[in-house]
Formats: sequence, structure tokens, C-alpha cells
Amino acid sequence: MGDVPFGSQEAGHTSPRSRVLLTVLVLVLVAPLFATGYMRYVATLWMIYAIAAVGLQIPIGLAAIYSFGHSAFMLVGAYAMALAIMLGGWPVPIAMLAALVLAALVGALLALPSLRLSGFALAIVTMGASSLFFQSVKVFKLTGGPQGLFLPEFAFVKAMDGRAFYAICAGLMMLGLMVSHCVESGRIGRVLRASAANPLMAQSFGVHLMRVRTLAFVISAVYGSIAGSLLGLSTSYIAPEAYAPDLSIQVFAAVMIGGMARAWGPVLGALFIVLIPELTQSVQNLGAIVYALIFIAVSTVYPGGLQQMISGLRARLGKRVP
Amino acid sequence: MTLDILMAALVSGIVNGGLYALLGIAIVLIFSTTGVANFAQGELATFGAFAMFMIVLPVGLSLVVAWMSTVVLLGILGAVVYFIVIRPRPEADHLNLAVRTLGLSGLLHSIDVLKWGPNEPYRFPSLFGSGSLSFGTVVLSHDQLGTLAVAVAMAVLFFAFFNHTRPGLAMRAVAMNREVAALQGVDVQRTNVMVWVVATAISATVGLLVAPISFLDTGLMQPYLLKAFTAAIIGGMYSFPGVVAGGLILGIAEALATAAASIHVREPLAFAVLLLVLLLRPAGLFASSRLQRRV
Amino acid sequence: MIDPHCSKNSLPRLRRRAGAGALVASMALAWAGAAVAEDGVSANEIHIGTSLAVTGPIAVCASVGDGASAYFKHVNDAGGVNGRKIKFTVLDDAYSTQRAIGNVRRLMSQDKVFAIFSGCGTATGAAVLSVVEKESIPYLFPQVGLDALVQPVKKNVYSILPLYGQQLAAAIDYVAKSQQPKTAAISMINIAGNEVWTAVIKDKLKALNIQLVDEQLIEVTSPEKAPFVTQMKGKNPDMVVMVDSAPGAARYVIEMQRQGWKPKVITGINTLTDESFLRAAGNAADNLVVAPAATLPPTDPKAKECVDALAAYDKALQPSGFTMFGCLGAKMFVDALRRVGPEPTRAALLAQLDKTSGFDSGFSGPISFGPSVHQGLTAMYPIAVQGGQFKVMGAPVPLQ
Repeated sequence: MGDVPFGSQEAGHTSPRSRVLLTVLVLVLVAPLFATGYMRYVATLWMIYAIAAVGLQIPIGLAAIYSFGHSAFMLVGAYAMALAIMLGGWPVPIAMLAALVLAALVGALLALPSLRLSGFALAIVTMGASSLFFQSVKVFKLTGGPQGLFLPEFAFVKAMDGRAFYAICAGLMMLGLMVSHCVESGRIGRVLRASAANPLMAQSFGVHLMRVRTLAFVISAVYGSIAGSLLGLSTSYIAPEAYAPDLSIQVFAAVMIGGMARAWGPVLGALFIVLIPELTQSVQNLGAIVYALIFIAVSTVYPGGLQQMISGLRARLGKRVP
Repeated sequence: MTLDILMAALVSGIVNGGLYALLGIAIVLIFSTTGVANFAQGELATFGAFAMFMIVLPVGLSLVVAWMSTVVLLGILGAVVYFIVIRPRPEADHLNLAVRTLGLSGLLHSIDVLKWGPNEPYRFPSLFGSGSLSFGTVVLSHDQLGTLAVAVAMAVLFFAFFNHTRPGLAMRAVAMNREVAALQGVDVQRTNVMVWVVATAISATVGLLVAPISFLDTGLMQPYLLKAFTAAIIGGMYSFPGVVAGGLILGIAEALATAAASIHVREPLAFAVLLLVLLLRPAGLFASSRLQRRV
Repeated sequence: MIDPHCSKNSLPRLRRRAGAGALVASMALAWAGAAVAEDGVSANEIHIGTSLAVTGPIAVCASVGDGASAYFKHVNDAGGVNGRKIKFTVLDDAYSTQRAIGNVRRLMSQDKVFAIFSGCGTATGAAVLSVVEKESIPYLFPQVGLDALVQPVKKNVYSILPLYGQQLAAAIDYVAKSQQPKTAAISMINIAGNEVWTAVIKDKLKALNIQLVDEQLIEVTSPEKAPFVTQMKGKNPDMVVMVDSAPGAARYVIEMQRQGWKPKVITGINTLTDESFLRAAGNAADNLVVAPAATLPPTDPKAKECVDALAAYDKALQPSGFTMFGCLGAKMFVDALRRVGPEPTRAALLAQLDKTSGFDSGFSGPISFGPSVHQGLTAMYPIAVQGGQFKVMGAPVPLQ
């Protein structure tokens, strides 16, 4: 993590810098366990949005596929899991898995037109898909119509005043980060980056573009589905409004504001989008304005996001590893 | 479905289609010249409607003068937006520019909600009066006729400007090939500003036309944005006649399908149309074989 | 295709073990130190709270909170309830279910309020319900037209807004008696529960021998009413039963005016008797709309108490059906709280609420609760729109 090149971990020893980072990380993740139930709830939301954002980073950051369909994956994750639990009586982990598979299928479907379309057209299609899914679940009684679905409350969600659930979400987030890091620095990442930089050349080197793009979508769909399922569990109420196309833009904002270059950028971005409404509770609309201004500022002037700002800060303070 | 329901749907479809087309013209103008997919086009229109209702009208001007002042004001806002949001870091790729407009859309929306949200919806004065004309079983409200008339007039004005004036020629040159246009002496910067001014003014007009029909509220143009983009895509993103045709096709198809089936088919239909066009004719329905630019 | 270097072996085992160990250890520690829940009652204050849409698409909801706050100030200025002042916290959810759930959690877990009082907005109301029905915190009198609030009855949830089904049955009865329509049409908004309401309407029409000639389902998000009106115009019903939000209904009525057609009478639910409907519809609703209201309109002399309290609270606020409703809920709550006595607990409050019988606020029908009856308002005023104003047509009509 951070600016330490990945290779130095292989030998099995840690540099002092990454030990400090690790401690900070552990402290930050552990803190909510000691806070009030409400702060823990907010931290749980942060973890959930972080999972979604880390997943979205893969198509956007690596493959330059601007996917605005993430809310559709989260929606599938939530609704499919809920239906599996309520109609099929399946246990939660199996239901989540089933939802995951379904979302992956949707991801693969969305990838189908990606070869024929330019980045912009694909972005519009993903937007349309978000909107379509959102409108559809409001129509059918199976999915609870406009009211949504009320889930039974699960013991593990309430256990220890939410600590168990928070730990699960934090654990999944860490897992997601590690997987994302692997993807990013491994062969898949290289292939994705190549396909984005120069598709023709990548193809001439034997990269199967369709497969690669499908993989990018499917991976992001898996993350999105897990995040959506957890979101539904956290409130035990699945309201269609919570999975509207607006959610895609929020997660996108998290990735962008947090920064796309490093795996932990989206985690920071997720913290940002969860905190702003909290901190501006009494002046809610001012919060939205601040949020929008930062969004514009980051995309215009600071394309690397918070991550770039922080890394830049550290570099300037002379802590760069030689 | 009886004949008058069909006719009513057709009329409604043409009016809506015209509005999609007009907003789409603004989108295509910006996209073909500056390469930016402006996701804030709808919110600019909403902001225009609010500006007229809250800022211009209270000054006491007549409705027509208020209309024109608002359009001009919004044009100026377009230039401001260009300088603040688009101009910085011009080396950024086009998707980044589109993302900036997304942020702008959010900003405009939150400003609307902050200032004018609490008492919405507002009843917006119409230029056209509340009566209607009947042609047999077909009833056309003055609103619908007026809206269509203004939309058509605006489009015609725009085409005249675009095709028969020097600034218009400059825009066409930049749209075709920016580097060559610059080499030929076109002030690309100034053209870009003009493009944003004109496009925002057009959007404002759309907002002022929509507001009397639906009430004025902060979500006024939200349904229109994706539809306008669809119209633009049907036209190939670079063609003005294309976007007009696209808008009309979409509007009429929507209205007929809604009347024939149910209101629920509206969204899926728009999406289906979008997908079909993108998959079968990605360069747009009307692209000539010479100019097969991918969207 | 996964890079072999990225297998779990390459990450230093120390890192992972340290992380996992820390997590488990701290969880154990934290659990041991978990806090005990409190009541929201202090020596001189009772703290209650709510989540409602102060901003956003249904910002008219803010008025409900204002009306209640005004009445609480009025009571506090006179000394409070049994020596305690009432502190009412309103959190904005901008009609977002996610925010509403967050707000309620915050009120319960951070602010530790005594009860969730009031609220407004169907979708957010459902979200709040999903949280409170699993808890012991009282949820009182939200302005939410949701059957699930009291069907089935939940120990800690009370409502004073009659179910839409009840309202419609009474309204149709009343209008049928006074206007004798022969045909009717239904315009129903597509939100949760609409099938139940449609069924109630159909049953009523059948019982009264009124022929149903048209039935429409309207999307919340479709501002365009033209095709609906055209269709209804073709069928030309005497009476239209309209279940929609105030702005939606106003749009419909304006569209009727535009198309030059209207039925003999339009009736519906309490959304038609709110000032926002009047403001938006203008003169298009004159001599056309007769609908039920939970409270008297603020223009009625008997509403003086609430109107004056609102003016004393904030001169800039306009009284409306929503502020009256907030005031009604506040008055009912204060009455129950007084009956509880000097040591209020949640259980005692619920017990007293269940004993409420024929409570007369002065500006609404009587309110009665019972262990199996948690929707307390038993009658509604018939209100007509005349000369751009709401006019009370008679005594409260009892609901079935």
C-alpha cells in the first residue's frame, strides 16, 4: 500500500513506513467498535460504500470504462439476496452468493455492447441500464413495488450492538482491497490497462478484448452486488430509492474524489461521501453544495483525487522511499 | 385505443419530441464543437426557469421581455461555465470533461433546492394562455401549440445562424476539424465561448417551455436529459437534422407506446431505442457513408 | 490468470495476523464496555425527535414539524408538562429513505430520545417504521398514509391519520349523498397499498350503485397528465376519485381546465385539502373538489389556538393543513404525557395512550385508542373548495 512498490513485500519483511501505515489503518478500522451505535452505523456504511467504490475503480481506473451502471449491480445484490431469503428461505451467505452470480451475469451482459461503442456511448448505456433496473423494480409486486422489501432482522446484524456486522463489513472491505490490489498489479491489471491505452495494439498482442472488458464489468458487478447486499442487511429494508441511478453517480464520485491511482483511494472517497451528509446534517443543502463543488474541483483541477493530494503532500514532506 | 386517444398521444408525442430535439440541439452543438458531452444541459434549463420565476419576473417586466432577458442571462451563464469548468486543464480527456459537467449538474441542482426547494412546486406563467383549439376530435391546447411554435422558431433561428453567418461558419469549421480551423485563422477559444453561450440559451428556452406544462420544481428537466441524449445519439451526435428527427421519433414512439400499453413502458422503451440504435447503427440513423464517425 | 505473486503467501503473515488479532481483541473489549440504554427523560426535559422532509421533493412536509414545534413552545412557555419542557428535534431526510433510517438511528442511539414523534412522507415513513417496529421506542402520529403503520397493530406505533381506505369510503359516501353521481372514475397513484385502496373504492361504488367507467394508475414520476385526462374526458364520469399527492392532483385539475372538461365533483384523500393543493391548482379546483380533512382549516375560528401558536413561534410561517396536523399530534401527545404523571416512562406513555377515549382537540374529530386500535382519529371534516378557499361543509363525518 502507499508508495511502497509492491515487490518489496515478497521477501516477507515490512518496511517501517508500511508498518506505520498498517497501524494507522488498524486503528482507524478498530475505532468504530468503541464508538456509539450510531457512529458505528455510519462507519458500517463507509465500509459498504468503500467496497462498492473499490469495485468501480477496476473498470474506471484500469480499463477507462466509465460505468454508471454500478447502482444496477448494487440493486441486484440487494433485491436478489432479499428474494432468495424471503421466498427461498436460503441462509444469508448463500443468498448473497446467488445475488452475486446474478449480478455477474448482468455485468457480462452490459459488457456485450462495449466493443461496438465508444466510451461515451457505453457510459450512456450504463446510465440507461441503471435507470431501467430502478424503474423495473418499482413496477413489479414481486420486488415490493414502490415500497420495496422489508427483510427480517438478522441476529448477526444486531449482535453486540452492531459490532459483529461492522467487523464483517470491515473484513470484507479489507478482502476486497487485497483482491483489487492483486488485480491491479497482476496480469489482469496489465491487460486491462493495455486494452484501455491502445485496444488495437493490445489485440495484436493476443489480448482478447471482449473477454477482458467482460472481466472488468463482472469484477465490478461482484463488488457492487456484495455492497448492495450488505446495504440491504444493514437497514433490513430495501427501498428502491436507495438504489436509484443517483447511487451510481455517488459511487463514481467516491472513486473520483478518492483517487483512482491507488487501491485505497476509493476507500477515502467513500469516507468522504458518507461523512459530508453527516457533518452537514443541520444544513443539509449546504452539504450538497459543498459536495458538488468538491466534485467539480477534483475533476477539474485535482484529477488524482484525495489520494493524489495526500501522496503529493507526503512526497513534499520528504518521505519518499528512495 | 380510439382515434382521439391516438391523436392526443400523437400531439403530445410531437410536442415532447420537439422539446427533446431542442435540448438535443444544444447537446449536439456543444459535443460536435467542443467535444464535451454536457450532462448539465438539463439542470441549466431548470436553473433558467427558476431564474426567470424568482429573479427576473419579480422585477416587474412583461412576460415576453422577462423571457428574453432570462435567455440572455443564461447565455452569459454558459460563458461563465465554460471559463470556470471547461477551460481549465484543456489537455484532459473528453470523459473527464463530461464528468465535470456531471458535477456542475449536481451543483446547480443543490443550489435550486437550497434557495427554492421548500415551497415547490410553483405555478409557472404561460406565454400562451390556457385555452385550446379543437379540430374535430383533436384538441390542441394553446400551450402545446405555442410550445411547438417556439421550439420550431428557435430551431429555425439556430439553423439560420449556424449555416448562414460567420460565427456559425466558425463553429462548423471547429466542429469539423479543430486544428485545421485554427490554422485557417478561426479563433477557436472565442468560438467555444460562443458555442456555450448559444447552447445554454437554447437550453434555457427549453426550460421556459417545459415549466408552464409541468409545474416548476427542482426536478423539472430530470426526465428530459437522458431522452435528449438519446435523441442526439439517434442522430449520430454530430448531426442537427439527425437530432431533430431523433427527438421526434423518440417522443412519438414513447407517446404511442404509453397510450397503447401502459405508462410503465416509457422508460424501457427509451432504453430499448437507445440500445437498438447504438448496436445497429452506432453512427446514428442518418449518418452518411462518407462520415462514419463513431459516436 | 491471477498473478501467482499475489497469492496469500506473499503478504507478510505478520501483517495479516496482527490485523486479525487486533480486530478480535478490540471487539471483545468494546463489547464489555457497551453502554446501557436511556430514556430521553431528564429532570427538566423530555427529548423527542423525528425525521421528515424539510427539504427536497416534498418539502411541504416541513410544515408538519413547524406546527408541532409551535405547539410545544406554547406548552413550554406555560410551564411544560408536569414540570418538564419538551425538546423536539427535527432531522431532515430530504425524502431519502437512507437518510431517514440514518436519522432515526441517530435519534435513538446518539440523542437517545424518548419517542419518535411525527414525521411526513410515505416512503420515508415506511423506512422509519422498519426501524422502530423492532424496537421499544414509541412512534407517534406521523403524517404518513401507510396502512402498514397500524395493520397489523404494533405495540409502540400510533397514528392519527385515518387510513386512505377509511378516508375514501367516508368521502365517497358523503359525496354520493350530496351530489348523486351516476358514474365514476378512479385516478390512483402507484404507491404501496394502492390495490387495497382501489378495492375499497370499487366496493363502495358498487354498494352505492355508481357505475365505474374508468380506472387509471398514475406513476409518481410522470408530471404529464394530458393522456390521462384525455382518456377520462372520453368516458365523462360524474365523479372522479383521486388518490394522488397534492401537486399531482393539482396538475391533473389544471390539465382538466386546459382541456376544457371537468366532472361534477372530485373527491379523494386529505392531500386534496391541503393548502399546497390550493396554491398549485389555483382557481381550477373551485366548486369541484370535496374531500376529507383531519383538522379544521386554519381559517376556521376554532383553529385559533394552533394558528396563534404558529405565529408566536415564527411570524413568517404560513398556517396550513400540515401545520394543523402537526399541532394536533402535539396536543394529543401532551395530553397523554400529562396523564402519565411526574415519572414518565415509555411503557407508561403507551398505557395511557391506549386509555385515550374521545379526546377532543377542538379542531378535529374525537381521538380514541385502545390496545388493538392504534389509529385514533374516528371522524374527518368534509371540506369543499369555494372561491379559492377551503370551506367546512359540516360536522365531522364518522369513519367506518
